[in-house]
Amino acid sequence: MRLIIALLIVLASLGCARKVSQAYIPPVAETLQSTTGVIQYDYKAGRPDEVKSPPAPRVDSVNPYLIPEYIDWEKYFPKQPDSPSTGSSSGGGGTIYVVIPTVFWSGVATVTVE
Amino acid sequence: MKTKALILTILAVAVMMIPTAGVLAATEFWQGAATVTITDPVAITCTGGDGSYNDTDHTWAVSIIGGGTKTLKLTATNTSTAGYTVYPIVQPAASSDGKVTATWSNAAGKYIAAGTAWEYTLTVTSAADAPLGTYAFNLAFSK
Repeated sequence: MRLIIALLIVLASLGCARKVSQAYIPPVAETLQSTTGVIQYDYKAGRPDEVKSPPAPRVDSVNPYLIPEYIDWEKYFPKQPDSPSTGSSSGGGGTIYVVIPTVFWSGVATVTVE
Repeated sequence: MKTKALILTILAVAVMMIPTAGVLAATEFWQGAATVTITDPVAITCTGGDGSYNDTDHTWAVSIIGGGTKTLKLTATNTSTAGYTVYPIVQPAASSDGKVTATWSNAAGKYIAAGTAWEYTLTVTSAADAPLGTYAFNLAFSK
């Protein structure tokens, strides 16, 4: 009888661990370091309620054409993990490098309405 | 202890063997200069459209009547061995009253493979009741 109860407890604990694994959704942006043309995100995995939108890249004063719309955030911060193999809500993490387009040509259009 | 003494002796002998004279000094017998110019692998050229385009300062001037539309065609040529996604940019996209607008084709970016080119079209449109005057739009390409 005791053996059966112990076995049930073990199975129940395995079920809880499975639920935690399914709740794993990376990433959470932690820090932002911006250099010319590249934004580096250090992130960690987190529970769904901890996931927040990454901060928008700042507009470079030298290059005013860098606006957030040019970055496909979903591409770099997917909603679902590629390999949720840790089984823990605190697993995963790493660094993502986002390359920002840089302006290599500029000009001016003058339109005269007459 | 003996090992340390042996190492010190070897170092002392090595230092003593360093020549104090007779070292040949290098003699410079030729001078030159190298100039390296790095150009962007994607070149922008005008390939059509209305008005007048100055390729030196990248300015485009065009006249338009109320309710009319004019275009500028610029081609991005990728001369490198790598592909790039090239984004055409125009700011602002419209005059403050929204009567004169400027939009690029492929504004979301176009991947240009190595050794290929792509033509982007800038279309400016004037509303029929647009105030007469001159409107400036900043153009750019990024990759």
